[in-house]
Parts: sequence; structure tokens; C-alpha cells
Amino acid sequence: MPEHSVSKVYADANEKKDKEYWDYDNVTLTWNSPEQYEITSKIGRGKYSEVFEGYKIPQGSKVVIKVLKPIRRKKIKREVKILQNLLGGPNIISLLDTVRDSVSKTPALIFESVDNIDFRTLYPTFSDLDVRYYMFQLLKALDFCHSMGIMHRDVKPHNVMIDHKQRKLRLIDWGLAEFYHPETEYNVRVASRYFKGPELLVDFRYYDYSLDLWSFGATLASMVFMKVPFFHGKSNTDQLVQIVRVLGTEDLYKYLEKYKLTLGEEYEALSYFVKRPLARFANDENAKYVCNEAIDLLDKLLRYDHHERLTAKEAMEHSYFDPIREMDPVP
Amino acid sequence: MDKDDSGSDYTEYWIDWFLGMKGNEYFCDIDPEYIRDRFNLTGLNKYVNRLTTLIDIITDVSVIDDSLPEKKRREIEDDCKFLYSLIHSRYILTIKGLSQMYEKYTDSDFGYCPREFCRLQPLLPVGLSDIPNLSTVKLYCPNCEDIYNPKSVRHSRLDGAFFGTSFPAMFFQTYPELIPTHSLNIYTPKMFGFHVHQSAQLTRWRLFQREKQMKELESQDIDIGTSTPGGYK
Repeated sequence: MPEHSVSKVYADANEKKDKEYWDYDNVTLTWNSPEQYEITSKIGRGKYSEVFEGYKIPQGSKVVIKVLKPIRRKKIKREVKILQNLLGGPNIISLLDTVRDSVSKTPALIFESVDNIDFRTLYPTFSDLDVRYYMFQLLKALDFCHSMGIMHRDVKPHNVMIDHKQRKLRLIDWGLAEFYHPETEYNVRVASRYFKGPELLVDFRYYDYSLDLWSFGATLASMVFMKVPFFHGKSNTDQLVQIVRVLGTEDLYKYLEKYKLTLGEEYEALSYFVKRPLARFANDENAKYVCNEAIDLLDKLLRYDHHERLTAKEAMEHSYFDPIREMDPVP
Repeated sequence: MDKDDSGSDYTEYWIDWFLGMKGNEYFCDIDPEYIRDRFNLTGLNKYVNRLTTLIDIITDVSVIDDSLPEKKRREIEDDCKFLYSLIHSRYILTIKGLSQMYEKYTDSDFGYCPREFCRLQPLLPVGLSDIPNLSTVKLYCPNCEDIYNPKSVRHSRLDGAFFGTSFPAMFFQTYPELIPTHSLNIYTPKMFGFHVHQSAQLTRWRLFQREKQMKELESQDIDIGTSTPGGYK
């Protein structure tokens, strides 16, 4: 039996609030008519939804329309409740409306529109300061949702919308997000492969907000070292191997021992890897992003043991963000 | 009912036999008087030989000569059908013909408009040419004012010249009260309950233009409503 584990921070965030805040299964959603929204073009497709760009009529304001594929009502309620709880939070995508066609009953979520450019095109144009600025904005969103008792569970560049002209960042897609309750087992089939934390890959179900900090670390590493994705696994099994190739075998076993975890059969032939200092990933190309502070921050995020990882708040206080905090003081 | 294709069933009139054939449902019963009046057949000898013989057969004055070889008899029979059909396009423009087509129209013998917003509007046959062998018959919808291909293959193979280019217009000149009031609905595509913005914008523009036009007509005391055949509701 694996050890239980409780988040270092905000562990009782939900318990401090009324039951209605987190008891999403018992909320009754109100649905408006889709009449005042019109689709212009398709901008994305996910496992659970089709996403369109559109307009609100008659104002003509741009919106994003996320049409949900047939999924469990409970999952819809969870996403909507979370979006409503986080509404107005820093760098959180705003849910403007929930609509449903009276005939087909297809639910759709209406969001604020962000003039986003694909990260594969946008990120290489960033300066070192841009990277620090946007990653700091992302941490603000994460610290906020964690403080509200919610883990995002799918942090990755695809879910970070950036309007570079307005220097506006929004964390989107809260479809996998979940309320954190201590001593609760969570499904490890969350997040996208390259950004899955070790806890998901070793089937450790008592994870918490710190999962998001791993995904954040993997995102930051891909930007700083210009290696997208930073951990490039060919399968879920291989994903852990790719992590071990960097963080080494020794720390993995320490971690497994600490939480009384055992590796699955698929890892029987796992070779021995020495921990590779992150600084080794520096090269001529990424020199403009790499610095000691960046490496130190990444080192403190990319840890097997989620208790060792920096929290969002701690990460924001890291010296890597000194130049940002000077421009944008946080209370 | 016994339908003998060889035409040797003397108990039946030729025209009844012709009209009873599968695929000939669009044709009406031409008054034999009209067929026998040679004046009405002017120019048709261009399309068939032995016009007089054919007329006699069609009007049951005589039958196809039994002593003729099968192939020849078949040829004469086909000529009879063709001649009847050509006369038909002229007949349905006469008062008698129009009133017979009125019956068929009100019985919806030509089918219904496939367009959703036309709400099962009955159709009328029309040709795109008055010369035979150029194009097949089409069906005209007085509501959407468009033409359609007949649903069944039997009908879609009929020559358009058997009905002619003038028939529907002539029909509604004669029976203006039959012109339906047009429905004002415009279809705009939807996805998951959301209108497609571009089409919705076009629809709004069309509605706006219509509103403008209607106001203008109203200011000139022109009735566009339901009291005018062909008006809008």
C-alpha cells in the first residue's frame, strides 16, 4: 500500500468553503440559448470538445465557443463549476456563458477570446525577459487556482493562450481540473503525456496541486532549453524512462521507497541512469534563455517527489523572476 | 386491371390505355375533338409519318393492322405515343387542357416541392425546350420559383417538349388565385445549435433589405401581403 500524502499548501482550501463550492455533482447548471452566438471558424479540437471562434450578436464581440462532445454530465458540471469558481482570477480564462441547444441538448461553453498565436511559432520569438514574464503570469494563475482548492491537471503550452501584443496570458481548458481534497485518490489518467508528472507514471494516486508544478517545470524547460517537448516519451512507459534519463535512477528509487511505491512490470528492464545536471542542456542556440537562475528554478521544479517541488508561490519568489517582480509587484 | 402492352386490348380506348401506362401519370386526357382538328396539328408531320393513320389509332377510329410485322406495329405504336405527347404540349395551353391540368395540380399529381420551406407545395411540369429530344421534363414550384428534376426515373425520362416551356406561366395567368403566398423563411446553416456567422450575416442583410423594400412598397400603397396572390407572408 502506498503512503498517503497531503499537499504542503492549501490542503484545506475546499473544506474552508461551503459545500456548494466544491460539491459540483449537486449543482444545477443554467443553460441559455445559443441564439446570440455565431460560429466563424474552427480553431481546435480536443478529445472532449470542438472549439470554434465566433461572435456574440449583436455586439459583435469575439468569443470562443467550446462545444462539448457527449460526455458525462458530472464532467460538464465539474468544468463549469470550476470555471465559475475561478472567474475573475488572475490569468484564468473567463467563462462568459453556458449555452445549450434546446433540441440537440449539445452543451457549449462561451469564453473570452484571446488573440493567440501557436506556441511553436510564438515561443521562438520571445526574449529571455518575455519567457520570464509569461511563465510568471502562468504561476499567478496556478497559485490562484491552487489557493482556490483546484488543480488544473493539464498544464502544457497548448493550454496557455498568449496575446503577445497585449502581453496577456490565459490558462485555458479546465476540462481535467479537479477539486483537491486531502487523502483522496485521484485518477492518474490525466495531463498530456510529455507533461505528465512522475506520480502519474508510477500510479501514485494521492497527488495534489504540485502535479501542476511538474507540468509547469516541463513547459519552462522546453522554453529555456528550446527543446520541445523537454521529456519526449514515445509512450506513457517511455515517458518515465525519458524523465529518468535526466533525473537519474537513484532519486527515482528514493522516491518510490519514500511513498512505498512499486514500479509496474513494464519497467523491469529499466537501465541505470546517472542524474544529468540540467546545465548540460545548454547550447549555443538556447544560450539567450539559459542562466543559473533558470537552471536552479527548473532543478527545484523537476523533482520526482512532489513534496520537494516548489509550490507556485515559492516559484514566483524565485530569483529567476526578480526582474519581473520589480516590474509587477505582487502583494 | 389488365394492361396489354401490344395495344390489342380492344375493350380499352387507346388514350385510356396510354394514360394508364406506368410513367404517363403527368399526361392529361386530351379531348379527341382537339386531336382530330388538323388545324391543331400543324407542323407535327415534321416529327411523325402517316399522321392521319396515327390520329385514327389514337382516337380509336381504327386499330394497328394485325397483318403488319411485329416490328412495324411497334413502330406505329411508338409514333402514336410520340404524337399524342406532342399534341399534349399544345393542348394543355387551351382552356380545356388548362382546366384538366388544374385538376391534376390540385390533386398533386406532379408531386411536391422538395424544398423544406415550400411546405409540400404542389408542382407543375415544364419543358426547357419546345423542340423534342433536347431535354427532359422539369417540375416548377410556384413558391420558390425554381425547377426540379422529377423524383422517379420513369418521369425524369419524359421529354420536356411534351409539356412545353410556356405551360406553368400560362397556368398561373389563367389561375392567378393559385399562386401561393411565398414563405419568408430563409435557411441559415447551424452547427451544434450555433449559426454559422457568415451565412447568418447574409441572412440578416437579406432581412434588412426586405424590410426596407417592404416599407418602400407600403409607402406607395402597394399591397405585398397575403391578399395578393404571389405576395409574401
